Amino acid sequence: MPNIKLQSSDGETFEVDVEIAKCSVTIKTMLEDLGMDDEEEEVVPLPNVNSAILRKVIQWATYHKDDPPPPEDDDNKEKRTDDISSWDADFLKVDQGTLFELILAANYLDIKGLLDVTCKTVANMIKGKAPEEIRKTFNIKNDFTASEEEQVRKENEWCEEK
Amino acid sequence: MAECVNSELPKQDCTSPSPTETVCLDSLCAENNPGTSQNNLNQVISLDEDDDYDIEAVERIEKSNFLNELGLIKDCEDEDDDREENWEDCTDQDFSEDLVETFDEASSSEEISYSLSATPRSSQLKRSNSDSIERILRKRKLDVNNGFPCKKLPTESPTMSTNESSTSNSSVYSSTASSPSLSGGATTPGGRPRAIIPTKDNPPPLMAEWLARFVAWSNAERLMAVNELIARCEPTQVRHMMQVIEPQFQRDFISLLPKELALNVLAFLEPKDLLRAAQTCRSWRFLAEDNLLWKDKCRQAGIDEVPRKRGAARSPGPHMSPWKAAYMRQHAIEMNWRSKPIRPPKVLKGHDDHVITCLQFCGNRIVSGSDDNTLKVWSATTGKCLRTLVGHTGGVWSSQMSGSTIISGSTDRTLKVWDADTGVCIHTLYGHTSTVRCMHLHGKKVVSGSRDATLRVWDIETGNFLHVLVGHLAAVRCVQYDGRLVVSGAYDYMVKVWNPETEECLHTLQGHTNRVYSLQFDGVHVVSGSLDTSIRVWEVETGACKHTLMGHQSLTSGMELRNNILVSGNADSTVKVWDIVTGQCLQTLSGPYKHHSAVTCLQFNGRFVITSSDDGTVKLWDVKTGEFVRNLVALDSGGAGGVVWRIRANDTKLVCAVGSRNGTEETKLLVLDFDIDLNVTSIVSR
Repeated sequence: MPNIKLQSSDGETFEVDVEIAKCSVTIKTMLEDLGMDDEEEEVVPLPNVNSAILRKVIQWATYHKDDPPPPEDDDNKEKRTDDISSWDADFLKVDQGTLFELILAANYLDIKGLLDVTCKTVANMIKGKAPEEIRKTFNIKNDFTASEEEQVRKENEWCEEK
Repeated sequence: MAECVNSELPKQDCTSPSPTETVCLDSLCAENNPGTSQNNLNQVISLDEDDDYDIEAVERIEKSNFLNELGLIKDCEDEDDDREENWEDCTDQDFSEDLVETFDEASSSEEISYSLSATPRSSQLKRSNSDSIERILRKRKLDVNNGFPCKKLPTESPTMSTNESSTSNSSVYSSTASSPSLSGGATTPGGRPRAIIPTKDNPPPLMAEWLARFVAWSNAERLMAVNELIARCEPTQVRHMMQVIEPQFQRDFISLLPKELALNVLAFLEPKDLLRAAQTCRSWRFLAEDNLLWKDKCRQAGIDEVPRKRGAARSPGPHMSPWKAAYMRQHAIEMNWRSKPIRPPKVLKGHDDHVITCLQFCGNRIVSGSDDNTLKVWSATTGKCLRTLVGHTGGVWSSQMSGSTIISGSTDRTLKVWDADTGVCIHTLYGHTSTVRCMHLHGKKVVSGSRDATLRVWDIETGNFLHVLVGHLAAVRCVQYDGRLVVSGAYDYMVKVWNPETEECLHTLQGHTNRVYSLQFDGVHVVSGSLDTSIRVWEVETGACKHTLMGHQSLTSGMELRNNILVSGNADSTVKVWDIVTGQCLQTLSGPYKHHSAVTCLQFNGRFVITSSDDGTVKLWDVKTGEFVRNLVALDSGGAGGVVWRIRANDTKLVCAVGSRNGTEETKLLVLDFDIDLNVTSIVSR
């Protein structure tokens, strides 16, 4: 398998199997558009991804290189968040800053599988929590005025059973 | 003295130090005993907490202004942001304690720092009150830039700066000498010596040098120094570090991610969680209100459209997404069905003590057919009887309705086509030689099945007879017509598939070993219910029997099929939910709250099954779990002759035809309303 060199925003170069790199639609398109030759020692610059994050992304893509392409979104189906594989769950046991940057990188590199699983992970951090718990989890300042807060509470009241 | 502290310090909580900061100068002047000052700090802080709300509000404004000033709001990825988070982070009492401890240590090294004292005191003496605002700004900037939390600390402690009796004022003062830029608070405007409690403006002796040295080190050296530092810290200090550090690793994903990515995250939340998320803060509220997000939630819940004419006027909030409003409305209605107190039903009395044999309900119109030879047209909203359709000379046993056209079939062997608005009989359709027991309308064609063993196809607009389907050997009991094919079930145990145009029987579906009473047809599958206790699923194209659904113990009297889910009601008093593709029985609606006698009628949607019974009750079940939800109707005469013959429901209303065989219950319709409009306040302003 031919390799390709990816360069992070902070100048570090990573040599990666082309097929693994191509799980990023962005890189795939770039290679196709540029008609990059395998022989050449070209370096693909990724100015929006730093080396720490790029290393994680490559780790993820390497593990998932044989995955079938992710299914198209079906808007009619409720989206599940309880289907994260244990490898992904372990992989995403990172601080929020890293998870944040992974989402941005997955979006920039257009890696749907990684974007989905990172977004799911954040969704799981929100699920089942009361507003105050959510604020604590993400260090959010409650910027509602008292009257706004009351209004918002009313608007978003969920009728529970009984 | 303590009172003085309490009354003043909370107001000048350090986010808003004011020119009045010298006010309580004397109050703490004797407080150079660290133990006591700690005590006072604690008092101050606990008072802060008591007076929590106002202070936080002020802080918010302050912080917001401040961030705007620094242009930090937009640029949250900036390092400054992390520090800004720190800035928030010392609401904790631990911190002040730690600080005091640190201070204790610091004061022990005062002798050393004394020797370094070299700051020209005169420059500070020049300070005037007019400087103070600038000073405040500068100081706060420093707070941020130093990444050093200060908010809750009674920092200025101008109150402490006078009359330091036992420790050497000048030594503390001197500690700032090496960093003149930090010396703003070192003396009060009056030129009195600085306080002992360390603050940003009043750091411990040699701290600046200590930090400068640290900054000069390489990364590896710094890491080692940090390790050593941590090793020397008390547990409370380490905990404090954690509290400072933790927020740096937190991210407000929803506010900080680009909008479409934040929405991508929110799309994974269930409505319930979205509602909670909306209550977190303004930016979350804005995103959790996204109309397309809620459109998806609606689609997943089977809500296909926003109620238009109603929605606008009744939507609960001015800025609420229409789709969210639709979702909330439907959820509130579901709760009305499931658990809210049931409002007293409208009682529509009619047909004397005769039986109501068939029931139609569409829009605002209810039509009841009876063995008293008449049909009655009712308003579902007012409960008034609008028309009585008189003309049949025998009992009415079947009916259909479309728009304002009603079709009825009778023991008098005719069908009649009526105009519901005028009550006029438009056509009488002659041809059957016995009771018209069943019919199915599609477009302008109706197919009727008769005890005479034939089916007839009619044009209801012209009143013309179109086709006759001959082949059954006994009474036709049930019929389905999808505009293309006719499917019929009869007392000859057969189910037949017909091409009505050619009057040809395409398939005879054999297998039942007793009379066929009920049919469902979705264009692909034929489902037949029989007195032989089985339900059979057939392929209409091939005529093959795909499944025989076993489990019921008696006659399947009514069925409904939607999206390959079949619900069957049986005379054995149970209801079953089936997957007709796999042939699996998904649920049996029975258990301690089951019907006590034959199920007479049923209806279901994606969430509920509503069933009526000979036992005088109408029950609501959860279609997914099979759980009994509650009785919607329970006649007092239930068990003593009171019967619910027929039910029809739409999203918000339930119509029940009730009566009795023995006169214990008068024949009538009950109309139950589960709409939220009557108690619209439950969403808007409860």
